[in-house]
Amino acid sequence: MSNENIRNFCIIAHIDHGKSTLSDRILELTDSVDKRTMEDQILDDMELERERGITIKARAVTMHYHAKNGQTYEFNLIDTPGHVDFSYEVSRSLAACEGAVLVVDASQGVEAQTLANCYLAIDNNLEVVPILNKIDLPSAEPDRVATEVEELVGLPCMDAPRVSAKLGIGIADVLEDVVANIPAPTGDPDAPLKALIFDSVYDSYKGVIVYIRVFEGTVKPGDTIRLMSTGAEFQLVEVGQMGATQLSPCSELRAGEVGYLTASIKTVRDTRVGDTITLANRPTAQALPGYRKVTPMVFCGIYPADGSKYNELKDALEKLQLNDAALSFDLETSTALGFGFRCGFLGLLHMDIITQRLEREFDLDLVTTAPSVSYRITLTDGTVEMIENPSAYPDPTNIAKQEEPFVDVHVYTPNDYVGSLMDLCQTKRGNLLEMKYLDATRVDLHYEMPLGEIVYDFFDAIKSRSRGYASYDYEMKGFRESKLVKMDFLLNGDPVDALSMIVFADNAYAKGRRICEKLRDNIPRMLFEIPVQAAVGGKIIARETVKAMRKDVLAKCYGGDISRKKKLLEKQKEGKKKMRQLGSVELPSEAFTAVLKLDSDD
Amino acid sequence: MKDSLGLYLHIPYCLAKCRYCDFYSAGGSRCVPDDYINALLRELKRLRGRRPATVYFGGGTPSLLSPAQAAKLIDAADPLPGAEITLEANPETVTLDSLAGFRAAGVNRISFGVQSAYDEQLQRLGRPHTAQQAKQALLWAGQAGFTNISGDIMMALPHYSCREFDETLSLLQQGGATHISAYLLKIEPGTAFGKHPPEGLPTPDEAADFYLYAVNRLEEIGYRQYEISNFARPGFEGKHNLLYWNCMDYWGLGPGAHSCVANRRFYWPGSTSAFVQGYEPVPDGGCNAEDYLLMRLRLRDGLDLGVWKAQWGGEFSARQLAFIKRCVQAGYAVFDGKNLALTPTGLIVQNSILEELI
Repeated sequence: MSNENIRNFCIIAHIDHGKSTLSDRILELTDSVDKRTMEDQILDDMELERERGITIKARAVTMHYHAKNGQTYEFNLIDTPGHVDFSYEVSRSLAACEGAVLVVDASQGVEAQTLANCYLAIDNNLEVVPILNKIDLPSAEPDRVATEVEELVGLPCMDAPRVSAKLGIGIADVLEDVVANIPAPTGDPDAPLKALIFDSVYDSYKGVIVYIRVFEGTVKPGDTIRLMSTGAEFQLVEVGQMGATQLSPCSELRAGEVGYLTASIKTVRDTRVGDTITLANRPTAQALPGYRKVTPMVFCGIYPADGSKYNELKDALEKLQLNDAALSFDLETSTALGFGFRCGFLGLLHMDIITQRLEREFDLDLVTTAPSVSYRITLTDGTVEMIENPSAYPDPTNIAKQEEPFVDVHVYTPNDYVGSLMDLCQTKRGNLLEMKYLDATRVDLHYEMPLGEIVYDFFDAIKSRSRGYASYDYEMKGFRESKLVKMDFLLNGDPVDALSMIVFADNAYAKGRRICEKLRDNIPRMLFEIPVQAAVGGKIIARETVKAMRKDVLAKCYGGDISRKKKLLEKQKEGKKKMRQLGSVELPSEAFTAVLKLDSDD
Repeated sequence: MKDSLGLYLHIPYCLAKCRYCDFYSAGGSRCVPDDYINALLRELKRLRGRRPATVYFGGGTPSLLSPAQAAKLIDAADPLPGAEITLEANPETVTLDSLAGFRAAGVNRISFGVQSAYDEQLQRLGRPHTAQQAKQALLWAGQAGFTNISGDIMMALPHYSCREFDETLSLLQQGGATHISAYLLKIEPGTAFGKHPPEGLPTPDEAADFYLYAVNRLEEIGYRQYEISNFARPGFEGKHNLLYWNCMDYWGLGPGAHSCVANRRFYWPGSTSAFVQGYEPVPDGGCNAEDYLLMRLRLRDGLDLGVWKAQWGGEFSARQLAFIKRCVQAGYAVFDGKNLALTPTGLIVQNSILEELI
């Protein structure tokens, strides 16, 4: 097929605006899926994705569309993840396209990610084709929203297709718009190969399946390819296109086309998203721009609830890593928790997804420590260390400079909640950069704040302070100098390493006190009172006491009660065996998990 | 030691079932059928002439027995001279005549279920008597010649106050009680309270406060605590219950009654008809050093380590001794290296302490 008849595009939308449903309808209309095998949201094939209604990983599919002009077009639809944690993957997916269909909910209008993704698309020189979805809803106001899109995004939108992806209304209009408004790809099929990796998945039969967009040249089975960032070379086994439900091998992929290749590659870590593929015997002079190794931003310790399951956890993490280059993990030992892993994630959603997958797909009971970020510490001898684990925090006397990661945060909210959300951002050490009215009632609060302040429950706090109406988005800004201290917690006078954390020095006192209170409330009362202390640099800054239990007795005990009493005691003792040791304190596992999950915010 | 034998006779009949009670008994009874007396007489032969040092009529409501029935059973039991013979009685079931009859039949210790001096509380508990009836019963007991009188008090009841305890205690004291059993209410599954817990129950901490208050008050007016829930004027400790707490032999006859003879435990299941028909009791394990420890630590006198080792082979590990040291520091126990005894604050957290010692 000539490039003239190829359209490479993606669909961008705010979460829940109907991107996946629209994808499904497009697949149906192009006869890409047998109606019988049609499942809702076929592109989101992970159980978790379907449940949460989000796309975690990008995927692509090739379709054939018979347009009203009588010609047949090859459509390559590249699905993009809908969450800020995966914004780099989004940007690489966008780079593989010439255009983007922007889905806007006709009742909700422009939202946080509508803007963020739209700007990202424009930055990647994509042609953006807006459509108004959910016109079946009684609250839909397509004309008002069209005006909003024109004003806020600066795209002509009055003639945009009015669509109900749910009911299948207006889908053909969308496809005709794609044909008419999204440019065909260009590129010389005879030039040296230059192809972009925008995704890769591990398959137990074929090895890694690499999703590529060919910009220049041609690639076919038998070729030896080279990955330009690492220099690694592989011999191609297969190239082909992605059907909605199966792969279809073909003889070659040419400039302008989207497809996949396999080469018996063992792990997705070898095929990093954003890397450029060329041919070993005829390399291109210059790699495609924008490659960056994705680095974890958020860290936490993951331990098996049952210490003997350590190897199972290790196997599970290794399996997940085959398919997730952004997940990192290193062995970690804690005196309180035993053997486990310090894991790194792109963000909170990523962390949440991984822990849930470990629990569901691998049936593991986990204990996770409070999430933290990576700090950059410069020592007095000039060496620079990245500290991801409070236990690795250096002796303060050897520290010359401390830096913590900052992010740009946009909170999008109805103006009723501005006051409360500004308070929240203020307490999170936010610095207001700009407050912008998106329209008469909606506000964009632009803050810069430390990533460490939003890693735990910022999302929940925003939702609860805005009755669910506000949303947010963040982007890494880089490291800033900061004043940090390591805070330890002691139970019964013994430090519990799993509870240590690195905190902003000025907040240490208040935070230490709040966490001590929470510990006090979550630790069950026992025979002896348990002092709970927070300490910075060996100095106690807060103290609470878990009071001793006052009553645990069988008041009556005559002839018949003796064996009953013995059984009761034996049962109680048996229960104690299941407890976890936290320092010198034994806790039931529920309390144990609750204690480790504690953060300072309510 | 093993020579002393206690005999418990269970009388599983009551006028009405109290809402908190989980002992085996049938409500709606005005008297005890002779069939049942005959079954007890039949089972008494199991003692094979071993003469009990104590006889205890428990219930149920043993005061539903006629004095003649009690006399028949006591005669058949053939207790040792000077044996303690106790009858549990409900205030509403006795008269001066019946009390005099029990006294004449050989009963020398009477134990009244008084529970509270507040009628409203008695009603809430499902007790079929008033405080006035309790006062009257105590008075009659003295007139009938009883010099060893015990009374039960329940504590930590719904909407409880120290004042309710004080008034109940004073009712018993003025009624001449020489012995007092003071219990914390425990909501047992399967009872009326278990199914519909009453409102206004104190928290465990408040219950502990009531308990410690009661221990103090009782000691102040001369009722010495000798067991978690038992207090007596010197010399009036209940000999029968002390047999249990010293792991001595006891026969318990009747449905739901437990026995321990030569360190073997057994019991009759809770069915009066099965008992009357002559079903055999069911084995229920043995009695060893742990049991002795559990029982002795209920007593304020505590556990003599020498006796424990010599008679039962019991001994603490180094870890347990370290734990005991912590208990002493926390005020839960007194330990001089030879004798370990729990204090009142230790007694009410006894389960948590015992867990570490068994």
